Amino acid sequence: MNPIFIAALSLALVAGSAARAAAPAASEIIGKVLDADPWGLAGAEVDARVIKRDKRNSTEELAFHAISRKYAPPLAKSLVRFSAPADLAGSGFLQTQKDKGDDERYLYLPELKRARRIAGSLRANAFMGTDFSFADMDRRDLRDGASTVKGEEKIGKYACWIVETTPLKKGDSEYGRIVMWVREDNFVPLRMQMFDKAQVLLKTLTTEEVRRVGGTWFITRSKMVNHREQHQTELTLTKVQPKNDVPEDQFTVRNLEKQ
Amino acid sequence: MTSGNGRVAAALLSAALGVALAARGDERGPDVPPSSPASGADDATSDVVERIDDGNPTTSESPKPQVFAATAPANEERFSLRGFLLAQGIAGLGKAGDPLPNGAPSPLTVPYDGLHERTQLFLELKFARKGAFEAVVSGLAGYDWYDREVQGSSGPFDNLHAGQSRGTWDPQLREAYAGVYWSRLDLRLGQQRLAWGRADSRSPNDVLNAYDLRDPLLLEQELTHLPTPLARVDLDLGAVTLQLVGSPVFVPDRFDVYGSNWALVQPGSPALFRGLLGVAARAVDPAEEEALQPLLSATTRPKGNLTEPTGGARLAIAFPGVDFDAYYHYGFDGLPNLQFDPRAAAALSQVNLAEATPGSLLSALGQLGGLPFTSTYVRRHHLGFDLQTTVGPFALRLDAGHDSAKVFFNKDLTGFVSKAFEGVLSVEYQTGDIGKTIIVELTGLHLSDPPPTGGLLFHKQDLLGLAGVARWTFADRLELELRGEGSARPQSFLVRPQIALKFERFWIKAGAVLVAGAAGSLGDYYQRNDSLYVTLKQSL
Repeated sequence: MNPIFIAALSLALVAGSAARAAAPAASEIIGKVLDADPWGLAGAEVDARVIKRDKRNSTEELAFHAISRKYAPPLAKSLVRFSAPADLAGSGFLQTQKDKGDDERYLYLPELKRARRIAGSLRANAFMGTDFSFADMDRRDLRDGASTVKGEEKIGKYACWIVETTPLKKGDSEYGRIVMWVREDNFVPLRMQMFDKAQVLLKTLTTEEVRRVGGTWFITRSKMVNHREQHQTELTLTKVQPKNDVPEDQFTVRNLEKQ
Repeated sequence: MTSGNGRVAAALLSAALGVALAARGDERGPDVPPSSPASGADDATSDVVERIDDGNPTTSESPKPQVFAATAPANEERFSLRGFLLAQGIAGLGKAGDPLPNGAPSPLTVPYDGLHERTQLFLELKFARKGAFEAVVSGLAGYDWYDREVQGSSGPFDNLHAGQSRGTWDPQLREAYAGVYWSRLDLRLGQQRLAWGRADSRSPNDVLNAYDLRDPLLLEQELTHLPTPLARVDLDLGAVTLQLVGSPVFVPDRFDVYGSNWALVQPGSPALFRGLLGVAARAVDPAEEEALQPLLSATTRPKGNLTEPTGGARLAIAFPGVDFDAYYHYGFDGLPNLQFDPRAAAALSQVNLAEATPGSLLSALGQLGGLPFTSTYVRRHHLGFDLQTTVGPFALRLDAGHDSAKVFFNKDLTGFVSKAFEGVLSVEYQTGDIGKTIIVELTGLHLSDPPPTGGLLFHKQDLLGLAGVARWTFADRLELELRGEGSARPQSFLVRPQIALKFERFWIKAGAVLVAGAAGSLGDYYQRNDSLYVTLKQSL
């Protein structure tokens, strides 16, 4: 056999395997997912509509406006202001993620005219009655978990890495593990499966629509199915503006109490 | 390398790179999806939308996107409107008192409303220009209809619609203020509700706004305080926020003196007051009694001409995990200091109040040359602080305050003024869902001055109590709530168990108000106010 051909073939094989090996490490994928912030929770201004649907198919709608800002990446601050349902209109929620210790959270209710500190340990509880828990929003399990790449799979026509994350702080998390299908081309998770500590599938988050706005990809329509409760929550971002310059003073209790 | 071999090697190298790039799946970087419908023509920043089809059905409702923009519109303006329409029926379970032996109504018998229908429309309109300006106006249109029990009725529902009925309008301008906001400074001018303190039931530091005490258990939480004309400045100093408030006008607590179920004068009040007010009330149509209440509750109010201003400051410090507030306020206690002219008491002691007429009272009191009582408001300094933190699923709050002068009622309804310390230790079990919460509060009060020999109405020199609310929602629709307050010495409780059903914006609530206590307690004083109620509420 021609030695040049053998050498070239070897080079090609090495290059190919090198390319496959070039799939980023799981921690790098998670880091890029968090940095990309496709949920619009860390450097964006969004308007969102949420439809809660129970097993009898009866629905309830929430609407909110949210601003967020990274202050010590990947840590972020966010402020959510509800406009629907009517009995929640004017309520506000302020969250400051903390690297160590519980996140700081405040809830403002207009009928009380005061902001109340909300326990940061309530990560397993539903956020405003939706199927999203506080843990789903603070992404601490992803930040602090141990992740491994389990393989690749296509969702629709998009190649995805399958990344499994095990939260390290067992007592702090409601999940035993999280499996995430991350699009290889833009680091947007197209599917997330959350398992409880008995490894029973608890919830599935499915991405139904993504948009690139100003160079940033956002999940603009998604659905969280709670298999245990037979509930689901549909989240639609009706407005997205990537913003890295929301002033720091917007994320204060003083601002939260400005209705 | 020969030229022929070079071409082969170059071709193979290209092939190898192609394999490598194919393995990566994208040769244009992470921002540009290879399969994007628009990706063939766009760059990495142009807007693209993709629908993900993984074979599963998508959501059934998908609102059309409105705005997706990389830059925010300047000076965004927002109007918002919220409010509620409420109808509430209250059926009293108590009894009206006895008439005179001859069957005629006795002026010593305090009126009792067997039925009360409350209708309220509350609206709040807000205009905000993004981050810089805000204007808020809210108002309440209320109408209350009462059916007064006939004296001598044998029990609840014995005389439905057989008594005297009356209706009163209750229009209120709630908040009306404008706020201008800068990066570090907020300025708000106008009528405002500004909540100081952390406690859920009644914070000792919540001294800026007056209380509406006309129905302590059934008023909507938003309506339990009266907004007050205020100038408010908030200065952001980083972890510390300084708030300054001032007001040219004093607004006292609002309560009925006579004629309604939660009025100050009750069957346990001295005969002198019951008789005097009973005879006076006979002189006017029941529908006009409402107009008398301000006169009865205050004969002398602090002047609203800037000569008796009130003002204070709050220093808020946000420590990691702990919020601390310190308060100072120089103002007036919200309750009137009622003093009865001893000459009037002597004169009235000569009158048989059970059979008195307005004429005979006027004759007896005529020599006084004025009202038989005075009702004034006392100046006081208020100092206080609060703390809040969280431990596990619990929120802990501590409120403490000291007033240099606070008004209490003697058992003869005259005022007793003392320095007072108050504290509330609050533990809230949180779930993250406002429909599922349990709050327990330990309340304490200490008066610096010993009460007079006859004792105080509702209070002792030291009083420990409990207050709280337990609310739990099932299946997003059914809500059970128990709210109440009580004390151990003297034993007293006011509780309100309630069941509610929620349909989108509409609530149906039903419950009971239960009041009881040992002699001299608040529960004993208002013991006949046990009642059942139904509330229909439409959020707007």
